[in-house]
Amino acid sequence: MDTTTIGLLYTGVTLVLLFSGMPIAFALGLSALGFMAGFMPSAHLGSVAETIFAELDNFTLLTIPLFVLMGAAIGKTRAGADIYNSLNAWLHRVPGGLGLANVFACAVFAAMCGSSPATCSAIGSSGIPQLVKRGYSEGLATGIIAAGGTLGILIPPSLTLILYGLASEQSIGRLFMAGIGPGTLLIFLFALWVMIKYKLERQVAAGRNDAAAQAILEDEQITWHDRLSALPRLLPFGILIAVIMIAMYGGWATPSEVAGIGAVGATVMVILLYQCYRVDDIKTILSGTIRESTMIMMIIATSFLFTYVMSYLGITQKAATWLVELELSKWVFFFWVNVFIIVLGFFLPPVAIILMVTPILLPALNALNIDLIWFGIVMTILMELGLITPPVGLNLFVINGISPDIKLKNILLGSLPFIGLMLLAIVILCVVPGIATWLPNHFYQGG
Amino acid sequence: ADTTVLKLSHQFPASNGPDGDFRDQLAQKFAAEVTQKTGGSLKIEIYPGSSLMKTKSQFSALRKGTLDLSVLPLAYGGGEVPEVTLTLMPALVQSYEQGLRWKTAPIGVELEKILEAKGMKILTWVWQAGGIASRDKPITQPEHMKGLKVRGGDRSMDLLINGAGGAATNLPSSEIYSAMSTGVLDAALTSSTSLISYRLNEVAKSVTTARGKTFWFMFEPLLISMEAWNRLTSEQQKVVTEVGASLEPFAVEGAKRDDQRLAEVYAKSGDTVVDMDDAAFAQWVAIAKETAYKHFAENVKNGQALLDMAQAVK
Amino acid sequence: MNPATHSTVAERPAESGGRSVWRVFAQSVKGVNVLTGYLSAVIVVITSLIVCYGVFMRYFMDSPIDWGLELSIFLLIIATFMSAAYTQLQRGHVNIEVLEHLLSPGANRVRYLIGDALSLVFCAFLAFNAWEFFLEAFEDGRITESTWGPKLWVPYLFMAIGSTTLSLQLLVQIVDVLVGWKGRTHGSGPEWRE
Ligand code: NA
Ligand code: NA
Repeated sequence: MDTTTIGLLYTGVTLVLLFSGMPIAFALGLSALGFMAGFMPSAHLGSVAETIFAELDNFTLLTIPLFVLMGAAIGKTRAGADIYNSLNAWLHRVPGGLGLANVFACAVFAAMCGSSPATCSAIGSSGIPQLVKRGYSEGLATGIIAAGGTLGILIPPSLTLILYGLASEQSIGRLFMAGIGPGTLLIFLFALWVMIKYKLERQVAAGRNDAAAQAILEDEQITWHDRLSALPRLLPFGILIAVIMIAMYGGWATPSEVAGIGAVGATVMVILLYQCYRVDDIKTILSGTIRESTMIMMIIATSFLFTYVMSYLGITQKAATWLVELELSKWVFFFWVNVFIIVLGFFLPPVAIILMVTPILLPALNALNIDLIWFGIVMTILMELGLITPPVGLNLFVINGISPDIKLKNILLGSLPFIGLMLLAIVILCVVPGIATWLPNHFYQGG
Repeated sequence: ADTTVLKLSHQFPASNGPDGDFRDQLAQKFAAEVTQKTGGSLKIEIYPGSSLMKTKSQFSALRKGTLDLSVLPLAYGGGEVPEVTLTLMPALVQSYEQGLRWKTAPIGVELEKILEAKGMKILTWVWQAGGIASRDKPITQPEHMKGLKVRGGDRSMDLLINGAGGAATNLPSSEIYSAMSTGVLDAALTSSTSLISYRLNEVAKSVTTARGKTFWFMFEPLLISMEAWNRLTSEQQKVVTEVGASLEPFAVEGAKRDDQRLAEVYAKSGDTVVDMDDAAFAQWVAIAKETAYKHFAENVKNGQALLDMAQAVK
Repeated sequence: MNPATHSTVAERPAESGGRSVWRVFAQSVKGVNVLTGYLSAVIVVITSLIVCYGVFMRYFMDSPIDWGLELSIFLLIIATFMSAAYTQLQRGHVNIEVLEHLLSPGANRVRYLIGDALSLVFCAFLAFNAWEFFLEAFEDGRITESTWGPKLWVPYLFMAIGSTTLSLQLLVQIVDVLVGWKGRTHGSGPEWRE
């Protein structure tokens, strides 16, 4: 059987398994196992555990449970409510103020950590319940967090940009700087959409009379006294962010280690300030943490096995090589590369896509004179997009984990407009590439 | 006739053109010449940039035969085959020429024997030198390392760093850059090529190159798994061996070019570029013998004998 | 151990002979999995303390620890595998639910049963393979390359135990559905919550 046939078959079988409703982690694993048995030398079946272990043996990857712990700890207390009440006190005159508060909270958190699922989890565990309580539709509430969380890999520091920099031999410092402009653009677009959608939902609610409608229509009376008294409640969170920022930029810790500091800081804060030390409280935090992080880690583990088989059978390479050999013009090529990466993003995590695709695309990108720093940013936005597209979208799973009551379908529908906004951002970047390249070109010394 | 396809995995960036990573170029040259000389009966597929498997999985995969060929830092296999730690022992190899003389010396024969028993075979002997990127002052003598947090990246180098009064610091390679930019790390030891490709020139203020003396020499051979080797016809085995050996001068040239390029790249971004002299080198050798060599002799079966054999190569 | 796991049992009438042996087994599997689930979470907390200790020793005491990074990696891999069964017990491994609304409840039951069986195939294979992997590393005396140089069989062992208990958990859930003890639809989502 030739590579193309095997590739189509592999894709088909995996889709059937995924859509059958099997847990995604096991579907990816089983599909990989089947094709390993069918098309690869038998020795490979003997090293499945080893392949998985080797891929997980990566500290940066393993910070996910720590970030999840941080989020679960904060999420358990009224800290989340405090944050959003306070931000809302200041933003509530703006339509969709609480939604905006969430977008900004995601952006701030993204500036602290390099991982999107972690951003999602930390902000979402307290943000989503608050949004839903205030009458935001489940779709909008989860969409804000799913999309806001993706900023984690665009706003520096970013693990994705580091990997791209290593794979494409581009300056990581430049890449980080290049992420700032487009990150701000996305925050702006997200905020704009949240305001529009909020107004629409309010209009619809005006015709109804249920609890959700009342929640969204309720006109809060917030005085300056409320606003000022809300400030001290933000203090613990402000201190935590400050500690994390100092730890990271002050040379205490690496971006990965910040996960540990954040987790301990959040736990200490929760126990001391929020008096959350009853056995039941602790159990909830522990159980929530482990369920969520294990769900994500198991998908990562088996998706690595899946990627390994795809790579060994030459499926990824075949597809990419074919794309390069078409000899298309710059923008047609760019368009199809985008489509290709989006399709890969349906199934694969950013790490796998970057490591497999970048080396193959580089010759064509160079030949067509495409700025590799700029392309890295576009690619990262495509990776962000992949984090909120099914069937494998890490942020979707995180949100599914932290809000088990909300149907995946609603999360998907709520994220859809944000996918549109990300594509719009890419179009804007094509028209005005300076949004990404201006900062590094003017302010970056060296390299 | 039947075509045999072998898979070659390595961790280095894919190269396009003569300016690319020389280890990928080596793999490409090897593949092209083997295919040509076997009349197409043997084909080699290259998976650069760890696109097939993780860097650390390659050694074990060669042993088991799930991977056919690889260009890899042999010392990565130290956890499975402790003897290979010898190939990243500080100051044990002091020049490219001396490294290549291992091939015919008793230590080379012994190393090949050990590897073949573990399921792999050396096709091309590749050594690579490295240096020290520092966030502040250049590091040439051991005393310059006092109190600094330094990433050695492997046990022997860590022992040397601690022996010099530094603090060996464990970090994933992907985090060296950010760690050096924030000051989590003061200095890092690695190959000239990696010092360039990690772009540490952006965050370092000085670099000690391998143009003069260097205690950092790493063995990074092209290896074939015995499983794959045994699948080849004797004609193919002959071609593979010959092509492998014929690429050794290319590897030396590539490694030396990167040592030179390291100096140029760092100088261009305004860093202080220094070389190590014989006197400083002698101080490092003394510390290495007290630390890394001692540990190796005490913890590896036949360790002292292997060290003696290696030191006998002049 | 969470009382909620037992409540489903307490409501049930006494079972006869072979079934009650199975029930004891099934309950033990669930009990162990809940316990290891919570212990795994404790491991995550401990790991975050280790990371902070490592940062403290390096930055404030100028003497970096050489075991922090590897110990953290090992502990988090152990926590992941040792809690995979607990997560499965709660149906926490996420899936795609597009067919749920298109099929009848009966057809969905069959679909989930097949899904669980297929999951078991993968997990059982992984468990078997992980045990081989552990034995190999144990006999080899494999260690890592750091100065600390811990034995690699330790995390491998927990990977093997974790994937084994995960397989047993799947088996228990399959049998539960087959003999209809559950008395509730076998949907996705947690079977019980705090
Ligand atoms: Na970030
Ligand atoms: Na996706």
